[in-house]
Amino acid sequence: MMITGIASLGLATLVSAAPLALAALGGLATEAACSLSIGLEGAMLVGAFSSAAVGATAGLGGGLASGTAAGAALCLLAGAAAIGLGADVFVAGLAANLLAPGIVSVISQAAFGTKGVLPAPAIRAGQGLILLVLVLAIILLVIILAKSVFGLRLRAAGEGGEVAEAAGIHGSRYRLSAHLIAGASAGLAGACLASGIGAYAPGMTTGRGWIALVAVFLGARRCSGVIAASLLLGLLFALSNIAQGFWSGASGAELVQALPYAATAFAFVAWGLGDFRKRGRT
Amino acid sequence: MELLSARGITKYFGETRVLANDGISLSLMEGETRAVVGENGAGKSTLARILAGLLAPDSGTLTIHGRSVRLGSVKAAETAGIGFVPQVSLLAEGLTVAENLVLAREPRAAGFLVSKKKAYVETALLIERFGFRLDPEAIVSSLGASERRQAEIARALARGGEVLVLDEPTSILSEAESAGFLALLRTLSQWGTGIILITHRLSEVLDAADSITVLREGRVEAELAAKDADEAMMSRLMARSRSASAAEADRPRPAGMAEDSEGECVLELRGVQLQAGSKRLDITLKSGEVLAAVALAGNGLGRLEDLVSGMKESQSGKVLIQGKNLRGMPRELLRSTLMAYVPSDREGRGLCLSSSLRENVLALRRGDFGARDWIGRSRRDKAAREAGESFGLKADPRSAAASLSGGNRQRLILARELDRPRPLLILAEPMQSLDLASQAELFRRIRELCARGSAALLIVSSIEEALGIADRVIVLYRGEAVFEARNEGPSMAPAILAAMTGSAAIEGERLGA
Amino acid sequence: MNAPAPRAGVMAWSRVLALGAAILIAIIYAFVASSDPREAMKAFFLSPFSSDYTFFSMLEYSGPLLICALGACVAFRAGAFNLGGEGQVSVGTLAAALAAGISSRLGLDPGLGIAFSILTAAAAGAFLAYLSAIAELKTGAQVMLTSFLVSQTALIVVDWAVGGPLREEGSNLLGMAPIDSVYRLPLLAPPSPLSLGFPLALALAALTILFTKGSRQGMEIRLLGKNPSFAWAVGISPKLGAAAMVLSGAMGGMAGSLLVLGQAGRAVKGMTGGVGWNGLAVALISGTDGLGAVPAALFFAWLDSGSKQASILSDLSPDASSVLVAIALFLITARRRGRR
Repeated sequence: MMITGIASLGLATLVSAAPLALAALGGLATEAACSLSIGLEGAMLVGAFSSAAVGATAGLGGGLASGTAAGAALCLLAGAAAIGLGADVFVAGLAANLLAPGIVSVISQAAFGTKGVLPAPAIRAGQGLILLVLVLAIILLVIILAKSVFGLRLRAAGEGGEVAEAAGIHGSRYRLSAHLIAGASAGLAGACLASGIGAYAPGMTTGRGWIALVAVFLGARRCSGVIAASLLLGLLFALSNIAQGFWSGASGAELVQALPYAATAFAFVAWGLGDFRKRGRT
Repeated sequence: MELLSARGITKYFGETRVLANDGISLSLMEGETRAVVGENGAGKSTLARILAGLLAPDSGTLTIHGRSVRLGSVKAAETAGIGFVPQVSLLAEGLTVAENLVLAREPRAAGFLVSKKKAYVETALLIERFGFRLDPEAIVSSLGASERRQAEIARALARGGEVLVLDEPTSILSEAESAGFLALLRTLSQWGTGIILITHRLSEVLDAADSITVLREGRVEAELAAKDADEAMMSRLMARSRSASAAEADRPRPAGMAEDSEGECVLELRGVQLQAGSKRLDITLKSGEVLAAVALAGNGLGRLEDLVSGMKESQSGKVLIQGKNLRGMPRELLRSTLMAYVPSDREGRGLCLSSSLRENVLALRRGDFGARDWIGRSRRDKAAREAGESFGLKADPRSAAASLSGGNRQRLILARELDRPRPLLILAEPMQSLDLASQAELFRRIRELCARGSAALLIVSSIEEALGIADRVIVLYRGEAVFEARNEGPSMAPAILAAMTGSAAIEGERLGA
Repeated sequence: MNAPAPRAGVMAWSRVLALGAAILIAIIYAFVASSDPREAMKAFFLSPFSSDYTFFSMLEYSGPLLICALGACVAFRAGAFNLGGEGQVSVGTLAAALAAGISSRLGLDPGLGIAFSILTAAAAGAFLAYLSAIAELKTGAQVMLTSFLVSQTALIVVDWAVGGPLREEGSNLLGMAPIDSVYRLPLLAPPSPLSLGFPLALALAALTILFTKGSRQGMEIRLLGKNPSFAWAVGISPKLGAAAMVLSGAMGGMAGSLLVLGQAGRAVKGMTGGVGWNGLAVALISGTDGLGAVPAALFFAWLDSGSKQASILSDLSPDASSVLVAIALFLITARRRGRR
C-alpha cells in the first residue's frame, strides 16, 4: 500500500516535472547565453494551442511538431526584438507573454469559432508515451547544452567582454539561437500538456512557464541543478493535485491550488537567503 | 627570415577624437622578441588589438611570411598564426582550460559533439611542450593570477603559434613569477616564435627583448636594438612634453604639509582583510594629509576602494570615519557632507550615462533644492552650469552624460565631488582621461582642500601620480601593506616599484606583524 | 557604452507610430477575419463613441487600467518588474468590499467610508508588494518572479474566498453581497457605469506624474532604476526601490477598489479581468514616466471597448485588442536601447 502510494506519487511528480524541466532547460540555454528569455509561459501556451489546433487533423506527431514550432516562433520574435533591435530582453519576453493568450484567442475564434476549450482527441496520448517524448527531449537538450560544439560556443557567447568575439564566434547569432531553443522547448512542453488531456483549454499552462524560470534560478546554471529543481517543483504540484483529490467537491480543493505557487515562492526566497549568505553581503 | 611586417597602421577614434595610431610600421624576424614601449595613451594597446584582428585600422597592411593578412578579423589573424594575450582576459571564466583552447576549433565526436578526450590530449600536449603548470580540466575561474597568465598564453599559442602579441603580461605577476615568465618567452623564441611584448616595465625590456619600438602619441618615436638602450634613454624617448607634471614630480614635498600631522584622525582602517589569507591592514589618515595607496592590478586596490567608500561591507575589521563606524552610517549623510568619492569605475559608479549632465553633477546636492526647484529647472540648470564651469566643463546641462568625451566625464565627476570641502576625499584613479593641464589643476585643488583640513586617500596604480601629490605612500601587494614611507620624491620610485612587484629586497619602512 | 537617451520628442513620436501600426494591423485583421470588413471596422473603431453609454463605459474602464499602469510605471522606474499587478488588484477588491462592510456596521460617513475602502485596498496591495520587495532586499530573490508567484497565490485565495466562504447566501452569483450603496462611488452619468472613479484616477495620475517628474524622490528613483551602482555610490539607498515597489502595489490595490466601488458594487470572483497585465502593457508602451500613461490608457480602453463591441456586432474576436497592444509593445520596445 505504502509502496504503491509512493510509486504513484513518484509518477505524478515525473508527469508534473517533465514539462517544467524541458521548458526550464530551454530557459537555461538563454541564461547561459546571458540573454534570459522570460517568454516561456507564452511559448507554452501557443504550443498547447497549436498542438490541439493542428493535431486535430494531423495527429499526435503533427501536433507536437507544430507546438514546438509555434513556441519557437514566439520566443524567436522576442529574441530578435531584443538582440537585433536593441529592446530590453525582459520587456520583449513580457510582450511575448502578453501576446500569446490574445493571439491564441483571436486565431481560435477565426478558425474554430470559439475562444474556449478546443477538443482534439487525435492528440490524446497516454502518460507513458508523453513522458517518453519529454524525457527524450530533455536528454537531447542536455546533450546539446553540455556536450555539443554548439553548447560550448553558446556558453562562450554568454561570457562578458570580448571572449566570444575574440574566438571568432558571433555572439548574437548564438544568443538568438538560444531563444529559439527556449521557445521550442517550452512549446513542446505545452504541446505535451495538451496531449495529456486531448484538448486545449484557455490558460491551461497556469503559470508553469514562470515556474520553469524559478527552476532555472534554483538550478544554479547547471543542467543537473535545473532538473533537480524541476523535480522538486513538480513534486509540489503533484502533492497539490493529490490534496485536491481528497477535497473533492468542497471549495478547499480550489484553495489547495495556491500551494504550489506559495511553496515555490518560499523555496525561491529560501534559496536566495542561503545563496546570499554564502556569497557574503555584497 | 622576416616573419611579420606591419606598415602604415593608422586608427582614429571618432568618438573620443583621438588619433591612436598614426602610420605605425614595425617588423619582426623569426625568433625575435620586440618590445613596444610608451606612456599611457601612446597607442600600444590599440596597435596590439589591430594586430590581433580585434580592431580594424583605418589604413595599413600586415603580412606574415610575406603573405598578406586581412585586418579586422580575428579568424584571419589566427589562421595567419597570430596569438594574442591581452591586458583584459579573453578567457571564458566558466569554461575549462581545455575548452578555452579549443573554442571555435573544437575536435569533434559524432559530428556535433565536442570530443573531450581529443581536447584534453591536445591541451595536455601543449602544456607539456612549453612547461606550463596547468590542469586542462580546471575551470578558469578557479585559477590563480599566474596560472591564468599561463592559460592565456597557452590559449594564444594553441590558436596562433607563429607570432605572440602580449599586452602587459607581467603587470599582475610578482618579481619571481615575472622571471619565470620571461624565461618561458625565451623558450618560445628559441622555437622560432616571434614575440611582440608591450610593457611599461623598462627593466624587463632590457632583459627579454632583442629590439625595441618606442611609441609616442601614436607614432613611432624610435627603433633601437636592446643592447644599445638603457632605461634613461627609453624614458626620455617616451616622454611627452612634461613641463607641468615634471615640475610637480620634482617637488620634494607638496606645500602646506606639516612634518607630523597634528590633525584629527579622519579615516581609520583597523584589522581589515583585503584578500583571502592576507594579513590584516591598519591604516590611519589624518586631517590635512594626502595618503597614496599604490599597487598593481589585482593586489587589493579595488577591494580597498570598495571598503573605504562604503560601497561594500567589510567582513573583517572596521572602517572608521571621524571615529564613527562606517557600517551604521546613513549613506546619504555620509556622501553629502562627509566624504567625496571619485570612483575608478567611472561609467559604472561615477556616472549615470543616460541621465543628464545636470543630474549627474548635482547628484550630491539633492538636499539643496526646495520643492519648487524640482518642478522647474532653471535654478538647477544654473547650479549645474556653474559647478561644471569651475572645472572647465562647458556643455549644456541638459545633454546626456554619455555624450561627453572621457576627459569631460572625468571633469564632471570631479565637479560633483570636489565642489565643496568635505573632510574625507577618496580618489581612485582620479586622473584618468585628463590632459596634463587638468591633472595639474586637480593636484592644485586637492592641495587647496587639504590645506583647509580635508584628508585625501589616493588609490592609484601609477607611481608617478602617487609621488606627485602624496605626503605618504603605502604599497599593497597581495592585499597586504608591504611598504610605507613619507614621500621623498621621484628617487623613491624604484623602491616602490620593487614593493609593488613583490620583490624581496626593498628600502623604506616595512610594515609587518 | 550606452548610447545617449533619445530626445523626448523622438520617443513620443515613435510611440505614436507604433500605435498607428497597431491600428493598421487592426484594419488588416478586420479585412482578413471578417465576412463584412466594413461593418467590423465600424464596430471596432467607432462603436465606443456611438452612444453616451458606450463612451462613458470606456472612460470608466480606463480608470483602474490607468492606475495599474501608473503603479507599474513607478516600479519600473526604480528598476523593479512588478508582475504581481493582478494579485494586487485582486486583494484590493476583497479589502475594499470588506472595508465597506465595516463602514456599514460602524455607520460611517459616506465620504469617510469610501476613503476607508480605498485606503484599505491600497494597504492590501501594498502588503503583497512589500513581501516581494523585502525578499529582494534581504535575499536577492528577483522581484519579477516573487511578485508573480505571490500574485498567483493571492488570486487563487481571493477567488476561493469570494466564491466560497464569503459568498452571498442564496445567490447564484459567485460573489459577495452587494455593498451598501452609500459607500459606493457616486455615478456621474447614470445609467452608464461612469463613476467618480474616473476623475479620481485622473487626479491620481496628476499626482503620480508630479511625483515622478517633479520631486527629489522621483529623481532618486529614476537614478536607482538606471544605474543602481551609481545610485548607491551617491548615497541613494536600495530601500527607495523597495518603497517604489510598495507604492506600486498600493496603486494596484486602489485600482481594485475602484472596480468594487464602481457600478459593480460588490466583489465578484475573477473580477480583475486582466487589468493588471493590461496595465503593465500600457505602462511599457507609454514609456514609464507616467506622462504617456493617460492617453495610452484611454487608447487601450478604446481598443478594448471597440473589440468587445465588434465581437457582438460582427464576427471578430473580443480579444483582438490585447493582441494589438502586445504588437504595439513589441514595436515600441524595439526602438529602445537597453540591456541585453
